[in-house]
Amino acid sequence: MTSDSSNRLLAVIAILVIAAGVAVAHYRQPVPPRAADAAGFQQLVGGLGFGPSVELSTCPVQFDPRLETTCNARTGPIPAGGLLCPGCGRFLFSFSSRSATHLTGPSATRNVLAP
Amino acid sequence: MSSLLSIARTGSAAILLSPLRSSVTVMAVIAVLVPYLVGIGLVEGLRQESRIAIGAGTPAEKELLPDLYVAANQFGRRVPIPLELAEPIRKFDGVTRVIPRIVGRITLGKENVEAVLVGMPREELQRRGSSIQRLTRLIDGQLPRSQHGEAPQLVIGSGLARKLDNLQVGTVIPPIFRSGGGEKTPRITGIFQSEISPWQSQMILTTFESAAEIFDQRGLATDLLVFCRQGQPEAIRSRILQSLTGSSTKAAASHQPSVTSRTDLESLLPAGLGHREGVFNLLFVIAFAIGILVILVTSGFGRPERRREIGILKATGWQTDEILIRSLVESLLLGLVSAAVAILVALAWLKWFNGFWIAGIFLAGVETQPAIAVPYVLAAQPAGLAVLVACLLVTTGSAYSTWRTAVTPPAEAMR
Amino acid sequence: MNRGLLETESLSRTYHPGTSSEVRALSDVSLAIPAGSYVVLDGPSGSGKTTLLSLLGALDRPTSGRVRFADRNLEDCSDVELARQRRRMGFVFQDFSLIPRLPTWENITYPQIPRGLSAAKRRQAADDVLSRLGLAAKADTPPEELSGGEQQRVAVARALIGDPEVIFADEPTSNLDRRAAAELAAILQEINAAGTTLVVSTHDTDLKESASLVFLLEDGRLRDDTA
Repeated sequence: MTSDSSNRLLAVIAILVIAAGVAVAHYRQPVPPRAADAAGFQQLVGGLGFGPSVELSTCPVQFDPRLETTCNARTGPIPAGGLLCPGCGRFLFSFSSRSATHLTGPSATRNVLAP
Repeated sequence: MSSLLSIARTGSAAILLSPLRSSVTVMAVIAVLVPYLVGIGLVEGLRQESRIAIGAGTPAEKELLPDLYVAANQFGRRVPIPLELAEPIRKFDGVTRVIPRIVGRITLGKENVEAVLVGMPREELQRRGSSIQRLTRLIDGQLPRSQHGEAPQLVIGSGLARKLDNLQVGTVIPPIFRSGGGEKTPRITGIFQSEISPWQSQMILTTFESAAEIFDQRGLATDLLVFCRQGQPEAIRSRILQSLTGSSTKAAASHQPSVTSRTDLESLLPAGLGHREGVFNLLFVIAFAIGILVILVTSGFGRPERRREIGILKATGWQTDEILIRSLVESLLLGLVSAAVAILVALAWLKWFNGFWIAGIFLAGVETQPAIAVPYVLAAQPAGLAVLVACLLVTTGSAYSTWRTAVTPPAEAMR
Repeated sequence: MNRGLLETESLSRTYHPGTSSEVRALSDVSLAIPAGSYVVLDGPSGSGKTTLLSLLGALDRPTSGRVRFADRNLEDCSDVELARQRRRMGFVFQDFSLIPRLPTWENITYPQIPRGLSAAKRRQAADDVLSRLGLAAKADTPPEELSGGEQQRVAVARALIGDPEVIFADEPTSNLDRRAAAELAAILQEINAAGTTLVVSTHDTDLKESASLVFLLEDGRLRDDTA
């Protein structure tokens, strides 16, 4: 363990930090060709897919709130289940289905009793 | 100043003096940080994909995506919308086009593989297909052209293709429905490329006519895609809500419209790291708390040696504050290394291992080995937070024990 | 009695006071150590030699009584002041107390780091001391690769490097063979001859023979017939 070893360690740390910084700088935006293809796909299907689910079985609202606006399982049998749906509660990217409710528009809300 | 620098430099040497303790600490912090970075990377990636899905920030794509989505409700729940309701909307000033669409849920095969079936009008699909440059980047094969009464032609998602025994273009699959028109044998005309979007994974794209036949629902759509002239969507939305709600036609009277604009959807996008519903943030707070305990335990690796070392330093004239500076520099460097390695590991996990296993945990319907190119973005904010958390974790874990030892008389510390 | 470099007055040290495992290691010890003297603390194991050495060297705080070093009461010193006093002292421990993995020259000069000396100057100072002790060739070797005698000489080198006014050595020859012990005794005598005060706790007769002053401890007390 000499000063040389310590210097080498500092150099390794610097390289790792710079590499991490470069990685973040490079991958902080999606790669352009991918964005173009994703836009093409959305044109084909008329805009579909918006949430952290790739199918409709678990929680359709988390696939796309244009299809459903409420999650039936929101008060699932888990602690604090009133806040988290067992299906969508695990998702990182989940939006509030309460917020999504406003997408039903003013006419629909006439049929819903406010809590 | 030079003495401070000299003391600081011993902090880096201290890492090498206790290699076991240092490596265990780094690994513990990495274990806490990597799932966080991978998770947030997925969130950011999905957010970008969602922005693309609604054409946010790209005027050219806005032209090609609908401005309004009109659906119907009954008893406060979503129901199919009668196609006849498209006619009055088409006549509104400022509406350029109205396209009906079917989006439904079906299961396939003996294992009941979940799929999302999407039907778009045949002409519309052809028109859109011809306007997309290099369609082969999106689909391996051709767009469906099946008309009413013909065997359905399907473009299926990459995940479905893999789950259903690696289906190929041209494969004829067993009947997937039995409707009033009898059984028909669908044919795969294309497979979505895996990297274009996560939502293509379980999707089946067919013509509106075939989709209506598969679900045996004539004269109905899931939603109407409404294209408007620039600046008109809000006015048209109000008009749809007013006129259809108060309409005297039977269909309009029994169906209450709901209109979603792209702006509405944009407002649903989780806002940064602070979005309330992200249970993940709660999990991470718990992970952080556990992390401190882990670091406290791991800092016990080599603790007698560390205690003795501090005792020797004190006995030979080092002051408590000098020992704390040395320990602080050591902790900060360990934190930096841990965060940097965690960022690189998270990137490798997302980029080269395509979110193996973890994507399936966070994205419903995605397999352990995803059949999609998992979307990810390594944003600066979570990366910076990771550095902060790593430094805080290591410093918190070691500061108290170092201080306690440093204020202990050297004779006792060396015992 | 002349005022010495080091003086104690009714010095006592009790470990774990008020508990069932209370140990009274030192009781009411008063002594004076003149500057430049070679003092040996003698006595059987457990008699309190190491405790007294720790208190004299500011490595521990007494339960009661006073220690005066160069006209400064150590019990009145803050933690920072105590550290500064220790820089005027050198220590040689029974088990060497060197930092593993750190090369000899860095072990020796580690106490110099807070003083802001550059690595080159520290290396130079280490080479000078190691040459004096016949260890010039071992400068880059870590302690675990040295023999017991060599490690103890490295410990002496570390004690010498700050040019201290007093060096404390706790049983410095107990872990060494006869030859190495004799070599170390000669080195210590040489150091004392150069004017540095030496306080050594030992049973070693060679070391005792060189001493100018011997204090005999028994059950934590200074024997009346001592010195």
